[in-house]
Amino acid sequence: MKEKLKSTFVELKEYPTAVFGLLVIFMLILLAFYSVFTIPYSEAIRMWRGDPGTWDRAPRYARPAWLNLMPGINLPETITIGSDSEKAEKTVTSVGDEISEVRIALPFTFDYDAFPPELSVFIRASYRQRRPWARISWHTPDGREVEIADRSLRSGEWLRLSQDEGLRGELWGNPAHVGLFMVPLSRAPEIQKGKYKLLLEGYLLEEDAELDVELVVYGRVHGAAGTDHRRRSLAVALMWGTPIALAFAFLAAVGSTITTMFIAAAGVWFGGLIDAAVQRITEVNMILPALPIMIMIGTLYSRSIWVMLAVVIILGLFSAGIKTYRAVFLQVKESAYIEAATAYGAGNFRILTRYMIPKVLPMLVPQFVVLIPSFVFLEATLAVLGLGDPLLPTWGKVLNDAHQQDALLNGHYYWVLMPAVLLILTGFGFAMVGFALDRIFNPRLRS
Amino acid sequence: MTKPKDNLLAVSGLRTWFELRKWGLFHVGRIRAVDGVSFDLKHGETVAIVGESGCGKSTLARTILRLFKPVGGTINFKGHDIAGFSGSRLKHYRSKVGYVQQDPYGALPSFMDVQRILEEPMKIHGIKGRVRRRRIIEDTLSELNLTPAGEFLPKFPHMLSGGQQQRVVIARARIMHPDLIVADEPVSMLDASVRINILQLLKSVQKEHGVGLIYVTHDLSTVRYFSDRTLVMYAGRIVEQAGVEEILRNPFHPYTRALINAIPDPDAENAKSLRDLPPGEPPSLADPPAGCRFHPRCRHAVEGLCNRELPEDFEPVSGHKVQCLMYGQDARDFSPGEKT
Repeated sequence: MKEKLKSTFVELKEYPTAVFGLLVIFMLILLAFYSVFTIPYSEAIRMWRGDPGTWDRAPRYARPAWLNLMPGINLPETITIGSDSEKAEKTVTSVGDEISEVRIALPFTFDYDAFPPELSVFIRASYRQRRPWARISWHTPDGREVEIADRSLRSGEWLRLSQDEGLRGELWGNPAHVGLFMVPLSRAPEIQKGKYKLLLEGYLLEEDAELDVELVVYGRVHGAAGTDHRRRSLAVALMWGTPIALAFAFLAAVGSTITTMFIAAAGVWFGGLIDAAVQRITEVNMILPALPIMIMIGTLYSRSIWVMLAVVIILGLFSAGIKTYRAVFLQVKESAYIEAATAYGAGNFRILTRYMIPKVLPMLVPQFVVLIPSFVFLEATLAVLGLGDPLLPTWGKVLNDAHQQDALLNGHYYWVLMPAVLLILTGFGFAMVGFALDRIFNPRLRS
Repeated sequence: MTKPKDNLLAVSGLRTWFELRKWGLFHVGRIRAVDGVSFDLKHGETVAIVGESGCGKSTLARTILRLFKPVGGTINFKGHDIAGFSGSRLKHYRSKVGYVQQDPYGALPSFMDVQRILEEPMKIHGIKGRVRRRRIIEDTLSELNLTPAGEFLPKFPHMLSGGQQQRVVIARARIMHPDLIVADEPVSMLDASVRINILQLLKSVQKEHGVGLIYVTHDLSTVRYFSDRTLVMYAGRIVEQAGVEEILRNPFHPYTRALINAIPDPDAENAKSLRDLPPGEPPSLADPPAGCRFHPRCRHAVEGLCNRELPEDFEPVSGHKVQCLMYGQDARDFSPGEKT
């Protein structure tokens, strides 16, 4: 077996497409492991569920950050600067009688070619009864000052400047994320690049009160894979989608090839009633439509990926493959070495697993490899149809979201393209290796 | 008559029939491949079973190996009737008999190396210990001139020559040190050049360990050098059994005579003469002729007798049994002229 594996590998190297396919598979597996180890399962679920507070500091509909590496593209990235960051200056001076004066300056440089899509200020304050009071102002590179707020602040306040109607009036009718970054009075808003500053000056009215502020200038590009309509980073779904897709497909392929083969072998070996039962079940199963059954179960019972996997495997156990395997096993059953094994006392189970299946296994390997992407696609298909697992982030779920938000209509190409590319790569990789293996194991296919 | 316990194997009235079914359900007949066979095999004795294709000799061999379950009769092996054995008793019996098949390449699983092939029977019968098994394998291989063992163990069957493959098959049959080896046409698929070599090896293994050997063949010419006794089989029955020299020198049964006549003899004179062979084909085992199975092809057949009465074993000479009515009480019905 080891020798066979080694010689197969050596032969595989003769096919450049197979080498490419192996490389793709290797990368996918690597990505799968990387994802599982860097983002723990519970963390991935939490991030994908997107509870309030998880994604507040990420933009909506941002493209992948690596887009900026292309020449001529310089889209704003998300700038997050809080009072605890290095560049921030924060001074608290006591002015007596439990009151202290606080001054926080958040300087940052903005030199991108587009306006940010949104602008927010987050307030963190701790106090017992008396709220701190503060005046927040915006300082532009050309020295102007725009007042954003001048009032008492509650804890956990989220100042959505972009939606602030009062501010819009002061900014010539532009929303804050445009008006605060434009050259004053420019007719078509023109970006003013340079050093900006958000300044907070205020008073803490209790002895151990605290006040912190965080400015988020949302970007038009964000993260490795961009974000969706709920500000979730698509990288989470694309990364975690990899192990899920591979595991689902691998288990489904194992379930519907190896076990199928075992059933076929057992049917042939025991013959009689067992064989007849296997044949009849297979024939009935062959005319059952798999996808509608899965849609039915997904709609009426559960959309859990494990339920779907179980359905795939159960429907796959008695798949049409049994007929193919049976034809081969009927021949194997009559071989002299099986008779010899019976004569020296090998039991039924030993003959099935050690004598019959190893003989046919080489036939199965290419099939198995080619089958894996088809199950990856099946999982994606179910998700696109709205029957994806409600909890898990998968490639299909990303596509489903993109479809529901009319991503292509709105120009969010990245949203569809990235999971699609991953799906296509998976299909390509496994198919290339599978076809090469087929040629190696079935030399007659070689031209 | 020797007492049963002196015999390694005593087969009596053995019948192996195969059901013929229509649509896998309805009984429409049966193939009587082995139909009332009796013979004995002493410890360390070699018996050849000779007959043409389809006479049931391989079925008989496989029934003795209990690859088929007989429908009737007994197979007495060392005092136990193994005909009805099943489960662990049958498994134990299997460790006591070795099987050498016709096609050595087909008999070896192509995906196992020699070491695994030889280890399998030991693993099945619970011989524990890697080192111990390895020692047994090495001993067996050296007995069969497959040396050095280390060179052969990692090889797969397709890397061996036909003769080497067959020696591995013999080694596998020998590995559990059985009391009986059944060899079903062990050399008919081998090159003529290695046949004698394999037969000699088989013979020496048998001699050295006193193993009983059943040698099934259609080739009478190898029988003389190989076996102590010969059984001639025709249409599921043993028609004649005697010592090998006796049967070759003095065949009783018309069928045996025809077989002996058919032994090729490299003599230029033979090209000119036609051999005296029985006309017709061997009968269908699904529907054998009534009476003596051979009577439709027999020159000596007597109408009203041979087609009515099934001949039992007659023993005109001690140790030489024949199933032909010519040698029974009705011998007077046969004209002396025909009884040549």
